[in-house]
Amino acid sequence: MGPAFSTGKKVIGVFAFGLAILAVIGWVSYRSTDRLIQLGRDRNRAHQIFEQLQDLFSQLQDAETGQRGFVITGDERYLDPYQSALGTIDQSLRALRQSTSDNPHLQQQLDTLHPLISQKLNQLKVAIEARRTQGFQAAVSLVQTGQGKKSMDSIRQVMAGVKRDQAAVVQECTLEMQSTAQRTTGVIIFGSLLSLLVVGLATIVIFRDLAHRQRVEEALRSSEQKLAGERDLLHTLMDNVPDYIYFKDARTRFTRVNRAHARALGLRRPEDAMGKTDFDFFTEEHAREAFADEQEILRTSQPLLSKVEEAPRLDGFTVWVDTTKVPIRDANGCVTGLLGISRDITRRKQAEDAIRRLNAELESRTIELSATNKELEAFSYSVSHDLRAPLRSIDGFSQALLEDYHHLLDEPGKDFLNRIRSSTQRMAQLIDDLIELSRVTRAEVRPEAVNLSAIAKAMAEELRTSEPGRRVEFSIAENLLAQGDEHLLRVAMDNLIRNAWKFTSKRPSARIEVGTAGREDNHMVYFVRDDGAGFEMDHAQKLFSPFQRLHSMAEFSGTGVGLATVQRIVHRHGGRVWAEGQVDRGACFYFTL
Amino acid sequence: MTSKSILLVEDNPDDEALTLRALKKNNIANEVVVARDGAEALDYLFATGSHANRDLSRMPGLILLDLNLPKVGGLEVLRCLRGDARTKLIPVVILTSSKEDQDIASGYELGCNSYVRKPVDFTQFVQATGHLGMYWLVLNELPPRRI
Repeated sequence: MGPAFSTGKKVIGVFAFGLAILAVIGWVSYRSTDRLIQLGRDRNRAHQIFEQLQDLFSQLQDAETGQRGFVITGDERYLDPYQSALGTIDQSLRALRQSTSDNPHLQQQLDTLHPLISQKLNQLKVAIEARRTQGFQAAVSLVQTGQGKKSMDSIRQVMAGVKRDQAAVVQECTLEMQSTAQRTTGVIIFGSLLSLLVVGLATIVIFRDLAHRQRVEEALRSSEQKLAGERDLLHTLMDNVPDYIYFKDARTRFTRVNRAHARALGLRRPEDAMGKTDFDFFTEEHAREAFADEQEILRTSQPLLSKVEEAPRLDGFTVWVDTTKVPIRDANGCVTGLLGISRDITRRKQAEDAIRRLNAELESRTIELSATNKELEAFSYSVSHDLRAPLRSIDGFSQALLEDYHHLLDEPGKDFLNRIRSSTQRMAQLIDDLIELSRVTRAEVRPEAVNLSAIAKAMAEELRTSEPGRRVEFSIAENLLAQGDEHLLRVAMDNLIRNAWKFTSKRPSARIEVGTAGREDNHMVYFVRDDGAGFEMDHAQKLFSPFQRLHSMAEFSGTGVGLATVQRIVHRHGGRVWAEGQVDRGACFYFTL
Repeated sequence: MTSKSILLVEDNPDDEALTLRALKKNNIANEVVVARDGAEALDYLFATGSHANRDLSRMPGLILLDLNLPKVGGLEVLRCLRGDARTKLIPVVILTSSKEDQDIASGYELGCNSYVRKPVDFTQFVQATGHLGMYWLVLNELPPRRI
């Protein structure tokens, strides 16, 4: 709630109102006093007139008393009061005339009285003269006429009227004075109370205003503190953020930069950037572009968002930045400058470049690889097709020679032809194995649940049937389940079990075991173990390379491709294969999938 | 048995000689017609080109078809003869060096009756040829001819 008027105006208003009340009280008091004075004067005059009339009447009585005493006694000494009264009566009348000169009604009454007094005085004079000249009787008879009494009664009557009037005036004045005094008192009391009330109200209002002002000041202080806190926060942010933050004026000169930007510009202190422009730090080309961007922002008030640009500095060093620039407006909304935030993305850019390069490389390699794969496919096709044909011819015609010309050949000749035949067959086997190896390498892996126990059992059955004379005990664990491509796993198991079968062939009795041996890295470890010829552990690594054989052909036949094929299959399933063995104590092949 | 001829489609003269020898070893005396590429095989079957004067009423009782042939490939030959009413019922045995899954699948899809890979071992080849002759020329009953 903000005051509608300022405290100053309120104070002035209250004081003006108070002064007005005081002025009214003063004026009313002045008027009343004036009136009271007037009334007092009026009353005094009425009173004076009353007194004067009284005096006049007593003078008249004195004159009459003196006259009577003289009439009765004839002693001139009794005329003294009469004589002195004659003088004073005249004086009194004149004084009366004078003091009532502004009152026509009184003048009129005096006009009535005056002849009556004159008449009375004349009667007195006549009676005195009569006493002097004619004696007591004449004077008494004059008195006895009653004219004296009659004129005296008339005078008394007129005077009584005047006196009554003046008494009424006195009374009227007294009443009005009383009412005026009361009214004045009322006005003074009411005015004083009103003043007190106004002063009281004013005091309350002023105190409330003061309290309000205090609150406002406190709020201002606390908001200033908050502002200072936020300013500190902003400074902390600006000084510690790794991004470049900078302010520029309307002529795109730096007005402020944060520490990170100062460092990036090669400045010791942020203040050193003041008044400088991009032209002081960057190549002209970049500075021009940035200047154009900033002019555009200043002109259109549209921010520039997340522009990725290369910023080559004058010292030859180049950084990549992601820049956002926004216009800064003053209180009137006019654009006065701009705020820029640039993030150094040089590392990201380098990483992206590296990734792009690697991707391109990868792509070209993939193309190469797929071309190589196609070649390989074509190669293996032609190997399987075209290389076998001559072998067939060699073998076929050798056989034809042996059949059709056996009579022309001696034993060594027949032996040579037989060696040729066995070599061609061995080569055919090699080709087949190589093709299998390449097929295994190229084939798509389609994972499904595969029962290795079932595969092993079927193999065992097949081998037993093929060589019923051998005494081999198969120990195959139940439900060896694996996740993998059934065809490939079948090929792998086939190779391993055939191997075991082959290398136990010199034993009168043998044992071949298929099972699991715990887990490795959460993957099941499967094994195929035999108690056959075994091998030297020193050569364990060679086992899985193609064409590597640890036994002579005379001992055990084979191409040396089988275990390489197993390794390929295991690798294609993301697994590992390894072997343990001892000469004449058997071998064990482990694999995970 | 003697009435049925055999069409051998084979471009390799060695293989041709060995196949003929193997047939002979198995006492298969049927007439053997040799076509040395796919185009010639089709000419023979439909009496066109160099075989225009052939008597079309005599069709081979068995075709031994190699896949890797010059001009027209074996699979293409198979497609053509399976697409023609005159030849679509003739037993065709693919006899080839290839063991590619793709070739086997295509062969059966196009309607071959057997797929045999030529063994390198001639003794085995003779055995295989004997089995084929015995089966397709003697044991197997063909549908009645409708030409």
